[in-house]
Amino acid sequence: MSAGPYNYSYIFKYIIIGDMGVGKSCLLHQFTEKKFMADCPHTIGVEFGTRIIEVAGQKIKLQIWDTAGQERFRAVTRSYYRGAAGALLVYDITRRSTYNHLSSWLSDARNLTNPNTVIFLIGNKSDLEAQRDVTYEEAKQFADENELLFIEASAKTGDNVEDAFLETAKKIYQNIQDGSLDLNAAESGVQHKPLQPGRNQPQNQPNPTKEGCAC
Amino acid sequence: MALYVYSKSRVDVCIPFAEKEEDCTVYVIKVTVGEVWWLVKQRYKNFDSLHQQLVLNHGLRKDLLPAKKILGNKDPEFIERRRSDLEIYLKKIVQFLEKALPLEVCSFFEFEEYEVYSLVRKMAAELYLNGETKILSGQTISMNPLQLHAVTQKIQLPRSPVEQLNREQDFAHVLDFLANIESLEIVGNRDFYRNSNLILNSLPYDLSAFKSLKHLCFNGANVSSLMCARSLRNNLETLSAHSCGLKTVIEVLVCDSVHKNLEVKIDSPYVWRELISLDLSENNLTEVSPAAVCLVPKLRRLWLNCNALETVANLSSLSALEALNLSNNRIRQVPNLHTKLGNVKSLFLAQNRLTSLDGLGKLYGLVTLDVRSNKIADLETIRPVAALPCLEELTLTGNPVTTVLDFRTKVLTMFGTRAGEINLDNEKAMQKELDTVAVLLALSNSAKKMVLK
Repeated sequence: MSAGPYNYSYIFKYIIIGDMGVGKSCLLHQFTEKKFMADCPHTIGVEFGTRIIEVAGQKIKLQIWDTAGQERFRAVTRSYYRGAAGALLVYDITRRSTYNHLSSWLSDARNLTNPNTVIFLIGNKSDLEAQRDVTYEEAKQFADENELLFIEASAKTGDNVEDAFLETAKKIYQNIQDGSLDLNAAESGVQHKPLQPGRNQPQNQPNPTKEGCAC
Repeated sequence: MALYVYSKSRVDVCIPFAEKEEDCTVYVIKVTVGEVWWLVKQRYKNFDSLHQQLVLNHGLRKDLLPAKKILGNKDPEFIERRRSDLEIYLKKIVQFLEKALPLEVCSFFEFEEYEVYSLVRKMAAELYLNGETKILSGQTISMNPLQLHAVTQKIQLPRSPVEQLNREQDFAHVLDFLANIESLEIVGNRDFYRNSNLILNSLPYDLSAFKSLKHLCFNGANVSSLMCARSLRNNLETLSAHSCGLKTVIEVLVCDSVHKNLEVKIDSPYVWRELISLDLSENNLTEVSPAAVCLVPKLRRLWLNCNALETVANLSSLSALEALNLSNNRIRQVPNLHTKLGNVKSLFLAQNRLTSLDGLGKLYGLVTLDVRSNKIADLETIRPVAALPCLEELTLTGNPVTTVLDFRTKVLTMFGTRAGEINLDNEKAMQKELDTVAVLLALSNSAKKMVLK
């Protein structure tokens, strides 16, 4: 069992949030399928995607909840914050209004996630330089003031998309390593791979005796 | 389907009657949630154990439940009194605990069979245990419209606090599993589901969560329950629909549109771009429309057996078609079939009403031909297919012609020097037969020479 959807030792849960039409679903699609999805329909409720990545030699399965940006789904979106280890907060660099709403998204995220949740700010549609409405410097400053990681990316060209997801995972992994994130807490958004009867755990699982199993 | 969180004001429980089951009294509980109702049968001892849990976990008063009675508990008057007391009890607990119905109560009322959140939670818990094994085994996964409907609904609903706290019941297990399924069978049902007023085939769903789906089969299901086939059209390789009561092929190919009267065009948004195999056997198809054929340009295998087709038409634009099964229909004639079909290699026309194979003489690519159990009586009507250069298998069993004296050698003789290569009725020619064929051929050759002289 060297490849396939079940070869991993950790699960990290992500959530993608931000205004309608900023490209949340396209970022997810670009990350999981490595393809740009033109004429992407509005997300109804939530979308779900996974991909297995590697951080520091560990196989990690990212379980990503992509939420609907529309106001009418806000109650659904809010219910998914809890138990997320990473939150990708997305705005559209060509639409200032989506940037202006960041503080309200951020306060939602801060209130509803646990204090260790890694929040990554993504300025999407960086390929549309000509229509830019929010400067890099401005957003960078916002990110620094709020202690967010920040990158500009393009779901269309795929630019920096991997980086955003991977950097978030690295930061989460770091939090596990230095002990600030508890693997066994229900709301940490990270866990070991569930034990399946009759199947062996991946060989490279670290210190199973110390951390116990997730079940 | 029931959705408790949005129907709290329209929840009702009552016990219409009690009945005997294997010498025990069972109380038949009718649970109503919004528009949906169902019946649950429970014995007194199940009420008792439910109540003990509620006292322990939710601080209910101990004396709320009508007391146990050892003697005389089969007396009809007593049963009637107890029925009415238990009904009052159930109404009370539902009223007390309405805000967040405890899991114990949910399972007592069999919510996991009829209610969206409970059903999805149960699926999640099961898949948490065996989802990986199921996916890795590569087997076809069977689901019913109720499960698909529940998932479709659940995607649009907030997460419940229960699933946020219990890893085993995380909705992610369900979506992760669905996203990895390659082969899905949807098993429908036209009757009421269990003891409820739900009908599986009337529940709508979409399959957007199935991101790896390549093979889809409807079995006794209502194809128009599938609300959106958008993503499937780009990925699906095999589509089957058995016993779905289909009258036209369009019904399944544009199952997600109300308008079935499509124009015939190549760039229709309803085209199934990767579909290689379409199996609509066991329906009531009477025709294949040109519009339907346009929607499956890459089709290689078309199975229309066990339907009500009377003619073969409109298939000529299926340029990639290799195998066509029209067995068990009502086809009487197949005149000039080569003008109606592409270059098929396998053709199954068993159990029809054919009297002649005249129209098949120009299907030059044909390798396998099965016309068993038709009404072919005249040996001469077989001659056209004997001239087909690639034909290797010919099945004629069950036709009147097979009772003709020396049937096998006569048919084999028609193939001339190729007689040895032919698999006639699943049997290659025996040496003895080949010898006879050689003699007959020599005789007819010399007869021809005589005529020429």
